[in-house]
Amino acid sequence: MAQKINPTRMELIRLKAKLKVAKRGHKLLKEKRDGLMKEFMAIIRDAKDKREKVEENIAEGFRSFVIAAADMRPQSLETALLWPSKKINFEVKTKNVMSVVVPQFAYQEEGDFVCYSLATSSSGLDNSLKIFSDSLADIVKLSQMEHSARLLAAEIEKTRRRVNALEYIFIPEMEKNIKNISNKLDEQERSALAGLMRIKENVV
Amino acid sequence: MDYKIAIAGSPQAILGFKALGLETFPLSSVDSGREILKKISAGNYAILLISEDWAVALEEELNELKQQPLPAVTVLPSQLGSQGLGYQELRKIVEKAVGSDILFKN
Repeated sequence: MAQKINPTRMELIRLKAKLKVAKRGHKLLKEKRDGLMKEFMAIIRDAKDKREKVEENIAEGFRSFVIAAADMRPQSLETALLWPSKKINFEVKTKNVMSVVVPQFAYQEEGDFVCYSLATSSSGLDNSLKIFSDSLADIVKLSQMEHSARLLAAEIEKTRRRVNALEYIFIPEMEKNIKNISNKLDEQERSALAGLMRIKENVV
Repeated sequence: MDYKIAIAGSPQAILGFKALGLETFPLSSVDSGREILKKISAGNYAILLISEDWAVALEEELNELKQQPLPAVTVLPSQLGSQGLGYQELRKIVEKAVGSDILFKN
């Protein structure tokens, strides 16, 4: 990125101001990156634990549900679950983490999941639905954490790239330019001074 | 505004979630799955749960959905048991943020 820069005092002042801004931006972005990272690490560890729990419960739930469903005729299963009595009021709030908007889920359950006749359904159905119902809170939480982590990760990647670009390319380049200009200006000054001295010698 | 939870997967497995008040989207083919994902993406859904077997088949479409603020896409193990796709997803996220996998390396 060797661009031509006029070795003038004007340019020097401009570059110095730009360098100051860049350094400040770099410091701020670095702090943002560290802050995001801290938040991210806290979320991702929880997410991993939650994921382990959900995987276990849900796999179990699905298994027992499939077995329970095999016990019943498909039509009667479908009619049993045709009109759920349970409702979920779901709310989404957002939280701002270092300018990344992450979702916060909250929900309220209404009613019971038993919306079918106990006489016509298999008892395994109650069991598996209970497992699903119990793990719903965990699933929602997991979903929130995974999604937050995903959004944070994207932002961290972006920020890190910016920090590195500033640190390894932009700032060194600018420092080099400033040094070049001040070298040139010093050189000009010296040559002007030498010229003056020579003239003085001739005159006196 | 009221948000909803969607669950997509094999019809016989996800039916149970219907009783819990979730909206179920039975998937039967990849093409219809695409249509359904489009519908979910346009609709008012906060969470999309999808079972692992279908998450593999619809990977491309899901990756697009994951870029959006909502819905939050979460993979659940299917009735066939967990294949570890959920962990893979976490690992990918960590690698993206940290640069290397520090969560599962042991």
